[in-house]
Amino acid sequence: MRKVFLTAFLFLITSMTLAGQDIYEAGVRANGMLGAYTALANDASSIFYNPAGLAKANGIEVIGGATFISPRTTFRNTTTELGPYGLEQKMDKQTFTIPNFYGSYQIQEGLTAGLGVYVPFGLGTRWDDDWIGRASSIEANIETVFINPAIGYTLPDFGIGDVHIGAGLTILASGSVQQRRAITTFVPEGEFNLEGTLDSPGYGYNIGLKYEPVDLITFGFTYRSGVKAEFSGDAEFTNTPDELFTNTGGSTSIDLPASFVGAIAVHPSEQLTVEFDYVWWGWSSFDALVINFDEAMLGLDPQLEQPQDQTTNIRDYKDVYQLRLGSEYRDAFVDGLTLRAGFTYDKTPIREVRVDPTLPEADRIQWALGVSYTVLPELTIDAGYIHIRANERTIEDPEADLRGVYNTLAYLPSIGFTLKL
Amino acid sequence: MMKFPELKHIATILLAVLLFASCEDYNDLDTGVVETDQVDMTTYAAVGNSLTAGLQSGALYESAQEFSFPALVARAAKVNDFEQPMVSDPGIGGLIQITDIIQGSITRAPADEGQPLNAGLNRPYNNLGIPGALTADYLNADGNLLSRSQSNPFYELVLRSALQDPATANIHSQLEALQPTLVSFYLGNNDILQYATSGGIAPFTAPSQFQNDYSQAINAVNSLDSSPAILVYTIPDVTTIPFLTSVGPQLSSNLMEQGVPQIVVQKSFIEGNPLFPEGNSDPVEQISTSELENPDESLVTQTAQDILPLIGTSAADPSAPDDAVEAIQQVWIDLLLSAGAISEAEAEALAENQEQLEQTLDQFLIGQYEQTFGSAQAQAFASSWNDETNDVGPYDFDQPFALSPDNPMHNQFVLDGDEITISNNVVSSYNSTIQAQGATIIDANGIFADIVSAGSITVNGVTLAPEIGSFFSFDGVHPSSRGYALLAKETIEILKTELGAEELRDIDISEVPQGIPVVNEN
Repeated sequence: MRKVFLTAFLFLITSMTLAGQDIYEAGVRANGMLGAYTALANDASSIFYNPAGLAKANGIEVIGGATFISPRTTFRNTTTELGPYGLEQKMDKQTFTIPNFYGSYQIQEGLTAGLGVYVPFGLGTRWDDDWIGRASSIEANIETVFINPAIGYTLPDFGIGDVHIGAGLTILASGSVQQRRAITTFVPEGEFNLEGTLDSPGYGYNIGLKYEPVDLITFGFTYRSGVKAEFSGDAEFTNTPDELFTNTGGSTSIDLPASFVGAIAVHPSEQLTVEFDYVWWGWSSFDALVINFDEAMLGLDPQLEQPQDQTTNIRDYKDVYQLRLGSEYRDAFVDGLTLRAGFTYDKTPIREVRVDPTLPEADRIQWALGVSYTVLPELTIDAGYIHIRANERTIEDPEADLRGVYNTLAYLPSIGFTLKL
Repeated sequence: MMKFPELKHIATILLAVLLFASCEDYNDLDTGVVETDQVDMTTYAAVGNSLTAGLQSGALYESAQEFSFPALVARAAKVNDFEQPMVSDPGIGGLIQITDIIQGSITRAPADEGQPLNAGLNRPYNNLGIPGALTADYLNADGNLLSRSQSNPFYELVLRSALQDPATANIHSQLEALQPTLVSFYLGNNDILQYATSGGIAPFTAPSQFQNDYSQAINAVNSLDSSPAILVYTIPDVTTIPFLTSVGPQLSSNLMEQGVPQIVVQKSFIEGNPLFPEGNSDPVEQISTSELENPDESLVTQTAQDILPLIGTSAADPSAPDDAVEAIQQVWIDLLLSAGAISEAEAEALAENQEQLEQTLDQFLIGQYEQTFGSAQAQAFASSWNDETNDVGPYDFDQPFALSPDNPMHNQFVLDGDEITISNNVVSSYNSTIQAQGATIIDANGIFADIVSAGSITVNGVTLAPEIGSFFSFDGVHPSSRGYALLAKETIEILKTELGAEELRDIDISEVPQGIPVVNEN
């Protein structure tokens, strides 16, 4: 049957680009070296950075801390259909608290078991309700909490130097996703909000190797498997035609990527370590974001003919690498004072055409400073600061969601403690 | 494969860290207004009617005005003080709102619910589009602008205090105050549109009059001290809008299924004239059969939708619903009322008296004939019409509606072949005038004709067909936001190619939201 009105091309695509941002800030000490820690790793936070390093954690160790991430992004549109050219819009200022906690127990010399809790993916973006990109996203959040039991073991001496190995189980224990956007297909405008929580735990593993052929040099290697995160929740439509959309349940799954790190640390003196890490992320696992709705809806069919219960947002991410350079200087000037510094260059996994305001990602440069001070023999206070400056990213691809210029920077102070019992 | 940035790159990055670590934006975008040797877009004034104002789906409202074609052109030129007489949603005019997009059911918002949002602007608006405006309004050439403003609120909305003084009660006074550097001039549609949408009943501006009004207006714009660049727009063929093309084909196929090949329709009397030399004075020709499947022969107006289901109704048929018979007669009574032929009291009486109504209509028709062709010929017409043995006339509601020559479909619901010819001739004459002004021409007529002949066009991945919900908004006369965006895109194209404004931003039609007016229960 011919429709009364020739209306087509209603789109309802949910973007969750935000999932494309890893958080490598899983320990305050490592933060000071900008995560160039895979070879040096020798405390309980090795559970995240390289479980082989756990073998070098003595006695009982408890490490806790938090990183406070404050991203700041501006967007200036270079298209003029929706608003004035070059109008600067600022993302809402939010601060995300990313906690970490590790405990380890040395079972015997060269064998340590531990448990880590950290948040390797979890940020949010929020723009004004009436901002120019509201049809793309107003608000987006993702959070994942991992629990990671692990064990580290020092191999018997083969006469080739110290070899440590480690392995752990990575359990995605808790998580949530949320996105809200405007639907400008209608006057007055409608709104779509999707909220989901983790269905059931997701499982993966991490393994590590640490090799010290001579005192001067340490090699580190670690691999983390990908983890499938299945979310389900509610899709809510506000102010939209009932014949097109219904509030219903929805679900999606995101393949969190695998990664590996190859690292080399050089120790020119007892006090000084300089480390270089190559970190690879298999982001191509995130090829599409598919949302399944419990009820089929006519509004999901661009031709308004056949009710659909699925939307697909092609993400098509690239695998990327990060180069991380860090340095630690122990007992600097006074006993018990450790100073750290780091620098990295990150490649973004997101192609130009896929950049959207849920996560205005770009290649990034970062620098970091860190300090630890042992106040008691058992207690060390750790602090760090990371500064991220993303390259200006200009989106010109006509297929992209929103064309314009993004500028992003972020401040990441962190504070924590290390208890050695 | 591992790839390291070059050393130089790293050095640049290090430098960048030091220099720019704390500033927000790396560089400035050039937000200066587009300006070339041939056109300075700093002060842009848009003169026109509803098409310039950005009216759609029957109303002028904020969410549509944002995407008026002049507003889109101004933004593309990086003009940031382009002011329009914004009206809050759902606007002025009675917005057609969709209540069920699948069933195609609609409702209309109250005509005056929208409120002006920037009536206090202390200078003329840049968008001076007045829905309903005639070409004569530019200079108030016929002196009737104030009387038109009595029944059309948009004159007051756009011209505001200028209406108080007869010397400034015109559109030109606004340009004198603005001294624009660029003017888009898009008047003329309303000089013919109402003729077409009223099935040939409403008058149109005679082409010779149009020529005077139009050239005087352009001369006045040319004589502004700011000597602006002028864009003029041709008038699209009014007989190809969905208001006239969407109902007929549906009706035709319904009737064919019922074995009814044609309907009978009352026509207008037309004296021979340059637009239509044959004239139309033969009594038998007053009532004509209409071949609905041929759009050159007849076009049914969207306003006919309510009366079409009544085709075949006869007052003599005891099974015919009373309200159907009354509805048919009421349209005639309304016509007599609006023509001033009867009073309200008489109208009420006629509604109760079929025979009286038939006779009144007979007299009215003969009177119209006399007005057109003189009393001598009218006598012959009257005797022929009143002779019941003839096929045609007099009125008899006992006959089946729209199937008998004695109970024809009302004239205002069909634009018949003669009227289509006249309308087309008027439009082409107007367009000759417009093209002869020496201004930069934007051929809106050509663009639209191309869409009609191709059936649709696809631009920026968006397919626009000359139908409601696509190129057209829900009133079947005015474009949708994306339809307006196409007009803006063509305007920009001409500004680039003919006036060298290469820096203008392109318009991507897919970026313009559909903005379908809806009423939601939730």
